[in-house]
Amino acid sequence: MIVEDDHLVSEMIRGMVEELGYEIAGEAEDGHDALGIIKEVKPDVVLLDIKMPRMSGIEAAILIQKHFPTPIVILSAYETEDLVKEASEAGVGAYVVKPPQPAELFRAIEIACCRFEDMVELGDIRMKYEQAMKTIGSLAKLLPVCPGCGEEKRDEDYSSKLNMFLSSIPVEEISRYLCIRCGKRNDSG
Amino acid sequence: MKHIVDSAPQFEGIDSAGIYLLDSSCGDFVLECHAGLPEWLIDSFSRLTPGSGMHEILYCEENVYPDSSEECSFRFEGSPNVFIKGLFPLIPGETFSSVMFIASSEPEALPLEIRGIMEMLLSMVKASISRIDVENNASLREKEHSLLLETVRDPIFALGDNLEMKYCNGAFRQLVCFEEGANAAAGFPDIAGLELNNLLREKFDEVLDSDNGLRSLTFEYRERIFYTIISRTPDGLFALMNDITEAEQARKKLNFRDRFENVLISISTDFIKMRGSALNLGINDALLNIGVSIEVDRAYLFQFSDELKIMNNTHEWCATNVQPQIDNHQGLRTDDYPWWMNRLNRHWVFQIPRISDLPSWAEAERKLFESREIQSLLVVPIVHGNNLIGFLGFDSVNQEKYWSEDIIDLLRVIGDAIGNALVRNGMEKKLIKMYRRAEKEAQINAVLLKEVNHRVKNNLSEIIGILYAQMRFASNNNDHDDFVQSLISRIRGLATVHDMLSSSGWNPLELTSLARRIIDSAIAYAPNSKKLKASISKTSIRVNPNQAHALALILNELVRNSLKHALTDRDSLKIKVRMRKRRAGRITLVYSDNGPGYPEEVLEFGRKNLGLDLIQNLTIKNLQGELTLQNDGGASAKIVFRRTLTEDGKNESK
Repeated sequence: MIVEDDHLVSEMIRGMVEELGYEIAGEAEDGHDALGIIKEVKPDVVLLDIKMPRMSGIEAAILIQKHFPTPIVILSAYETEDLVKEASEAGVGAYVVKPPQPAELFRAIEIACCRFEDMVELGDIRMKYEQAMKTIGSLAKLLPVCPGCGEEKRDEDYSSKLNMFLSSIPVEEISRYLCIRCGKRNDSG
Repeated sequence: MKHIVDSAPQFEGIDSAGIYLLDSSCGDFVLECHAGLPEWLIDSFSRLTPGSGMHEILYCEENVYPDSSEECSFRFEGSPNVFIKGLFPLIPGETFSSVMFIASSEPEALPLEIRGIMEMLLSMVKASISRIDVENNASLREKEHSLLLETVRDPIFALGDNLEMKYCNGAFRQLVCFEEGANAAAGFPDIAGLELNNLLREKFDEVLDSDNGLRSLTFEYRERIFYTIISRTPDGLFALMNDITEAEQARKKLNFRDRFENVLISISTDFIKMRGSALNLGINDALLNIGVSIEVDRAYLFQFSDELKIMNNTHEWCATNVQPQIDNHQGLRTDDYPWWMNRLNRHWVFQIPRISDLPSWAEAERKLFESREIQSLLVVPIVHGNNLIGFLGFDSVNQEKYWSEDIIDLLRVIGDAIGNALVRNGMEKKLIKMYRRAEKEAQINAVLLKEVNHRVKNNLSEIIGILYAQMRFASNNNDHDDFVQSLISRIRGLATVHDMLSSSGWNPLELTSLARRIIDSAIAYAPNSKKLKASISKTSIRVNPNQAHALALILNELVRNSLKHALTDRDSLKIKVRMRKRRAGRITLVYSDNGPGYPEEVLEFGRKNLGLDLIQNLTIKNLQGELTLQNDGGASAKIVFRRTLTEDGKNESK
């Protein structure tokens, strides 16, 4: 998808992108319009200008990553360090100075897509990690020995807490918690 | 004599003194009287026999001051050693009959001031000897006495216990205008007059009452300055009036030069590091020092401005009780003071010892000076290179005054130094101003350079965009020449607006000029056989660079469209561009020609060519405006957009 307020520049991007074998999913003239169109067309990658009326490319990038995570390539005639830093912090995958070489634009698109995939993967890992930490916390509470005095826990609701935890384990994960005999039985069953 | 010798060690630098008299019977020098000498010296050297060494020193004319013994220093060897610092013959003409010496325990040469003191003491001794001779040797002839007294150039007199005049020399008589032969034994006031009596009387009493019987004082009498020593004698007072007028004047002159040199050094060195208010303080301080040194009542600095048409009093110093005039001397027109300026323009230093002596054509100047109660004044022009930049002025208000060439020469040097400081300060101010301006321009240029860089990149992107767009539309049109012509025309349109924007420093552009330039540029390539006329309404509307850029491309396409379609079957074409301000910052631009008009399919935006595609998309995307195509006596395109003067902000196009 192309987000560019200068018609002739968007013609350049369109021509170049099509030459590289991509399809144009949609076009927008500023960041504000872009958000509406992205929701609709769900592009694989967004080529975003920075200086645009109503909403700048950086603002749009932040909102796109928040609401419709998508690989983003910035295409701008400006190349100050500050802008590059801002773009990076906004979750932009690559930054290309206009007018780009087609190969340069291709690399930027590919890198942005890879970086986005990495980011998604990282997000998944982080989610799993957080879930695992949560589970460890729950299990620690269910240990039958008091970590303070080493005495066996005998409080009344201990067995009900244990049952509650076991019942909360998803079916697909239940095998992790079975004993060897039950595990074998489960495998054969 | 003993009394005089006793008084010698009271002066700094003299430890001891003595007088040797020649015993004519045996040729020995006998220590007649002494003060402060160690016992061993008195015992061993009370009598100097010929061949004893010291005898020869005393007897050698070369060693006797003041003839050639300025550096004389001889030694009495003993414990402690005594260094003779000066040998003084008591009676001229009888050089080797009596010698007074002064000595100290340090071997330095005779200091200058001690010599002066010694001369006075010596005069006193001479007079004392004369008196003793008169008293003890009645047979000494009157003529000899007179001759002896006359050898002393300074006025000398001796008084009795009741202050009656016992004797006085010719110098004294001349000073007080006392007729020889008049009542010589009259009282001091009768002979010396009341003025001198009043000056000395108090000291006479002090000397008579004091323990050491010695007093000195300096006073001015009959335009001369006297350093007078009054000494008590067994039967009254003895006084020597040393005329130090020349010495005093020389000292004053030296002080004056010292002070001036300090001012000069201060101006030449301190002024170099002075800036702004520090320089002003420095100039004020210099005026004070000069004013005090040359004893004027007002010292001031004027500086010229406006090509010597105006003069302003910038600095002033006034003596106590003298009215400052600086506030009255601002913005004076030099034309009003022709006599004054005539001299200054020739770079003359001039003085007016008496204001009333000014010539008739200096009437304006005379009136001004009289209104300021100025009696005399001195003016020193301040010149740098060959340019008159100001002048130093010195007023005498309380008395008429004449300044010597010495003073004028020094003031001229000071004027030059102040001139240099002023010019340097002015140049530095200019340099700082230029530096700041250059710095600001450099900052602006840096921003402009970034902008140029951005614009060039954007233009290149647009050229590539045009090429892609033409390629896209070229499938319907295989005319290669037309392809190239279209491309040239479009790139030229880009170049024209880029040129206009870079000339204006990427500031808002006037819409009329923009339209005129683009249309003129576009129709210049029409065939010569065709008559083309463009009418563009005048307006003060300005649009920001991005909008100007888009409008230029749109107008370029509209003119291309007219030339391509409206001129085919005609020899002439009229193009009109009308621009108008609407409410809420909206602008309407109507482009029309008197050709056959748009085909129907174009009016419905059904058929598209690249030109129309560009006009439509540039209006909608770049201008965020609306496009209406209609036929109204020809093809007419109406573009409505909202004007934004700044490129930044939410309503900015790029």
